Amino acid sequence: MDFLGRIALALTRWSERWVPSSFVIAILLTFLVFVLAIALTSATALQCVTFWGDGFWELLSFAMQMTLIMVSGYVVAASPPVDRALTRLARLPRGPRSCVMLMAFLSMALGMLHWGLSIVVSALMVRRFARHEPRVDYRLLVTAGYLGMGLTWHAGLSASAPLLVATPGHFLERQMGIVPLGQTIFSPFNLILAFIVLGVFTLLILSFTRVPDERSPSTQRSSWRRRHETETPSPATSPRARLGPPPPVRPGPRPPASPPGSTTGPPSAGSWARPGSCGSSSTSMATDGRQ
Amino acid sequence: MTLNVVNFTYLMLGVALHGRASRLVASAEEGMKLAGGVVLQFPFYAGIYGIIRGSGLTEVIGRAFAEAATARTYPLFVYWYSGLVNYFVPSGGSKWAIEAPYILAAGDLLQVAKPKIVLAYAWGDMLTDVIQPFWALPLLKAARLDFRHILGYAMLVFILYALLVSLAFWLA
Repeated sequence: MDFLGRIALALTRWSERWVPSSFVIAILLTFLVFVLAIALTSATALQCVTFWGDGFWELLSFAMQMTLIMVSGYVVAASPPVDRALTRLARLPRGPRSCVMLMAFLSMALGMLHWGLSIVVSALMVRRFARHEPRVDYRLLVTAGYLGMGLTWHAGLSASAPLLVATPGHFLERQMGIVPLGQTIFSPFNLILAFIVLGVFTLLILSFTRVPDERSPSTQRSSWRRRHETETPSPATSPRARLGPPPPVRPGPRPPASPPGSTTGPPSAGSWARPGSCGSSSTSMATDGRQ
Repeated sequence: MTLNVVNFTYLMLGVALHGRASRLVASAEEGMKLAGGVVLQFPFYAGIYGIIRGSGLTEVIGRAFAEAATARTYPLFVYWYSGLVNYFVPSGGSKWAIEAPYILAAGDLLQVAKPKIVLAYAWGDMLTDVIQPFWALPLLKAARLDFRHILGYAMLVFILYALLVSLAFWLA
């Protein structure tokens, strides 16, 4: 499915060129809502400023709960036994593609248990995966880590709206009564859809990386050679890549995932999970994160 | 399982697993780096929430969606509407507080079952999460990337995800 890979590449090129930092996005959204509120409702500009100021500090306890979930989650994950377990987990994948797949699965499955778990574990796992498998397309790996928060959490056990309306005494009880969880998150519709999303996107994320041209003679030769080699990493893979800081930190305007020899690139379908299945030139590219 | 229970469990587990107080403190300080972006940006999104709630903007937009819907397509429209608002208020619980009264009332007029509306809201609350930077902040901090680096892939995920789940709500 090189088609999706091509689109992903074009979109990445666009976003890296034009999208501002996340903080600037928050500011821009503020202005947009401000303008929309004045244009579409009866509120005046001054009123909107007041609303903004009122809202600014209104959700403080939730903000602290969220901050704590990251801090306390990190404390657990950084404790020696859990740290060892996570490191062992990061060694499971046998190639860049299975790395991305496992990250996506972990993130989404944990998101279904609790969103706080998904956030913390994903944040800790991306660097471990990248250290274990430096040839991975780092940006795709990080995207995979975001899928729990992006695609599954509100269908799982920490789904805030369904949990809220199942709680006796919730603020809309008079309007809608109590809706038991059996009719929401444990309904067949929700369960089936959630597991379809989990399965589909665990697999689909793989097709986002560009696969190098199979017909290219150099790739074929190297993939053949590697298939018959031991798992010794090629010179370019090892010292710097394994010990150095997590790879592509500052990708240039052009993503490292582009051909020739993609970062994650499986030369042929059969060898995709094998370490060392892509050319050494692409390996160093993945490590530096620039071309 | 509330957030407080989760936090309490994590903290006590952390104390038990670290053994030494100094180690626990050191790792908590590490963890705070992850939470930094959230601490800074949260008030801004809370401000947006304030404007939307105070001005009644959700009702204006909600009405446009509800008027376009029929009894059969209402969950689908709730899904899209919830997704749109989610880009501005990326928090599932507080957004429910500003959206629910209107979508429930409009759903009553069309006689749509309540659990269906709740589910459509919940899925809509995730619709735009993957292209919204807020929840990715800890992950991006740990990864040392900015949102623009993952947005290309995220947009592709978003398109496919929106199609898949829209189809599910249309068929349901």
